[in-house]
Amino acid sequence: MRIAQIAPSSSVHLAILRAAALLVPIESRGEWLAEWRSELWYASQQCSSEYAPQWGGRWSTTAFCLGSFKDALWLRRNPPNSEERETLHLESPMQCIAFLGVLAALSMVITFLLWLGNRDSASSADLCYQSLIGLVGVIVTSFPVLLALTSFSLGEFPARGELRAWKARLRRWTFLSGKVSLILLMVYSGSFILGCNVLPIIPAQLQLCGLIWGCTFGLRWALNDQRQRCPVCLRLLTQPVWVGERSRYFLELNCTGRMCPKGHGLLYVPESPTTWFSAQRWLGLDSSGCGLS
Amino acid sequence: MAGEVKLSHTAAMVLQAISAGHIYGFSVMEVTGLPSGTVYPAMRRLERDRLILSQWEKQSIADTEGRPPRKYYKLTALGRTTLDASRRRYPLLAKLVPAEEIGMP
Repeated sequence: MRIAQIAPSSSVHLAILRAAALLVPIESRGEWLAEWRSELWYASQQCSSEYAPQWGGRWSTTAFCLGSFKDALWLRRNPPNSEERETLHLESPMQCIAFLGVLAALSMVITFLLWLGNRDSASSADLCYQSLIGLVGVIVTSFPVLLALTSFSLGEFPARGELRAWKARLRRWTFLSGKVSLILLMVYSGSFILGCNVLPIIPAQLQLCGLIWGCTFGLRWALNDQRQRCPVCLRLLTQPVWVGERSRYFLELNCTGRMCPKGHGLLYVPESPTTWFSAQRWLGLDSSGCGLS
Repeated sequence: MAGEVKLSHTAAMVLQAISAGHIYGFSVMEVTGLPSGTVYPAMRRLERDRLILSQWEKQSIADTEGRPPRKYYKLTALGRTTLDASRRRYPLLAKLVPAEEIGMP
């Protein structure tokens, strides 16, 4: 498609669009780029208009262009001619636990092989015990760091409804406990490997630091992952939507919205916590919400 | 209704904006205040779900007015049904994005 005029757009903005276009599947790249170039022309005109104070200048046009990356990524994940949609590998709770289980099993295999190598020595039992002590030490050290890095709150749920039922709560806590247990199992393996000194070229202190950070970030991931899941079906929430500046005033929302792929509800995560909106909130939908696209 | 598509609040806003006469991406951005990285993927999703249709403006019209052609979007029958359902779910939707006074091309 021929574009009549590209005059108001700068070469930098066009370069951003061209870079984003590389992410778009090749069969729809031409039309995608034509649409964005056309829209850029209008955005540039609007930005240069003195009657549009909210669209003030070059940076707004640049922000507009940077949005093309999200659009391009969406097209990359959802090719127009494909019925198959790319799904997250850890979307369902079973997939998540299976993934962690495989990692934990691998680490335990390594631990077992190392134990076999040392079982004849008198220090084999000591090594297991010391690894356990090491695990406790790593957890104790990681805890204050974790506290500084993330909140322990899992969000606010409605006072009534199925989320308060003991079965739902048990399911949520079992899932979280399962993830934490598997991560700690990997940390134990790390502690055992550290005790065996199989990597002598790396200083022991550095290995210990790595283990503490690994434990901290593993537990942080477990908490963040839990917060990003539907409290009903425990699937990862999808379609994160950032509420724009003006919509923020209209809707009195200061958050990012996420949606349950099964239609159980919407999650609102505050961008900057306030006294009246400090933790993420879950808004449950009734059964008519099931079957969301 | 069985098989009816349910929308998030943001997707419903975009659909309402298109229904109200803001029929190209940048116009939807302006009226909803949503950023480009939200509006365009939302429109792709709506088009994929056959709630809206897109059509390029004729090159000759754009040439006459000295501007690039635009890609216009319009609601399908399914889109109108879904929007009606969304308005019931989100009663403030019509107030947030009122209909454009200028007629659609």
